Amino acid sequence: MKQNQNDNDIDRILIENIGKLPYKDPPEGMAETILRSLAPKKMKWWRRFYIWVKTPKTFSVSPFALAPALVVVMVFLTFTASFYFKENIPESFKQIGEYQRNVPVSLIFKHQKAASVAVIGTFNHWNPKGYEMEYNDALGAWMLKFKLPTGRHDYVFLVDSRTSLPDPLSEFTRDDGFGNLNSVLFVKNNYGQKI
Amino acid sequence: MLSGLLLGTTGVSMAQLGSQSGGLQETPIENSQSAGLTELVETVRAAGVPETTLNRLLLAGIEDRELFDAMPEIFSLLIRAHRENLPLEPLTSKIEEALAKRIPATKTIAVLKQEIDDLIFARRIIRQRLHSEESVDPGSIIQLSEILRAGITKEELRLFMKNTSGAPLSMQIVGAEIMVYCRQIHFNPDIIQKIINAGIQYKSFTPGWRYLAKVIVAAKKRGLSGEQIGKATIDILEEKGSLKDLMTELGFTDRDVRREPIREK
Repeated sequence: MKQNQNDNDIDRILIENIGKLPYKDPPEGMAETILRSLAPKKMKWWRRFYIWVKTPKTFSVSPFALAPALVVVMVFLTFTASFYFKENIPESFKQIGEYQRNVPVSLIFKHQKAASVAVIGTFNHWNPKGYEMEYNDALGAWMLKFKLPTGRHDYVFLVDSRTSLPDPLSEFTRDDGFGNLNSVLFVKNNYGQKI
Repeated sequence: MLSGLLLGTTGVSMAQLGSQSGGLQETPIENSQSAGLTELVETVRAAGVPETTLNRLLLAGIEDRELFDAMPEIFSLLIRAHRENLPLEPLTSKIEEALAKRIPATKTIAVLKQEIDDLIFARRIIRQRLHSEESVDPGSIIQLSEILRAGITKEELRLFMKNTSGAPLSMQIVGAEIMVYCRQIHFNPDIIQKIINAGIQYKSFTPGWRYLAKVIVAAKKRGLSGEQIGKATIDILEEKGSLKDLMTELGFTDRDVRREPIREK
């Protein structure tokens, strides 16, 4: 109680003394200075961006409005990916992709005396079954059309189920290790060609 | 019983196989061999040798006594390759090739040994190249060993890999392939060297370039000179272009590099 009484006395004395002080005009620009100091400081752009990113947002989009945007994004991604992967596709992907592509191939072999000719090679595990050639009277040669995965393939013609002969039309060969040559066939799909 | 061994469900004795091939005499030694053979068959089967290859070999052995006698050694070579973590596919392919071409068993064994040596050599130089004793991609081992049969010595290949070590391994292999197949078509060695240098230096030997030799053949048939082809190739490689770009540069259309129709001689 006594403490409160003392405080009230001090306040009263201060108010009376302040009232007795002579009036004086405030210094020029004081109001502006005070207001400027009270105005919020402008934050740096990155700080504002950080706060904006951190603040949860709520978006309301109808699926109908979103569809065109998705289409545009998909087209952009497809175009970018195809452009990038054209040459930079990982080797393993490329091998899988190449292997899945089968390219039509025609082999022709001239051998008048053969009773039967088949093509054997790395692509059919050196098994002639299903790779028998047919004699084409018009060409006077044995012919076989089939499909091969892209890549490099070794092959020979198996004449009368007994004699293996390399393809005389093939420019490339590999030593078979047994003292003979295998022909080498390069099959490439890119650009729509078979080479 | 024979079908049991072929399909991997039971064993078959030497005598039983012998009787299939015309009544070969069974001896105590052969009896002991048959047990070993059965074990070997099971081991190679477990190692991953394809069932079709195995059956084909066993069936051929019924017809060919020499081949049958050589089977333990053939299987032992496959097991050795498996234990050395070598890819088995080149060996099984060689066995199938030998069977199709009716190659004598002794010759087949010699070729399989050579094949294993080549695979070990290829793996060694890849490891040296990678400065690592870790496992090497089997595909790279096979590709590199296959190049050895296309006209390049081991020493040449070793030197090539050493001299081109600045490029990724896959590009070195493409470069080596280009070199051997361009040699086969007697393409100017100086131009081959320049092409290899450009592909390695600019790291532009993507897998598609492995068909370069075939494109060169087609381009020469169109009347282009080696110098023209070489210059265009080097320009494209310097620009990190593809083989397709080269073909466009050389003026190929879609059909130009197809296998030519047969011509009457």
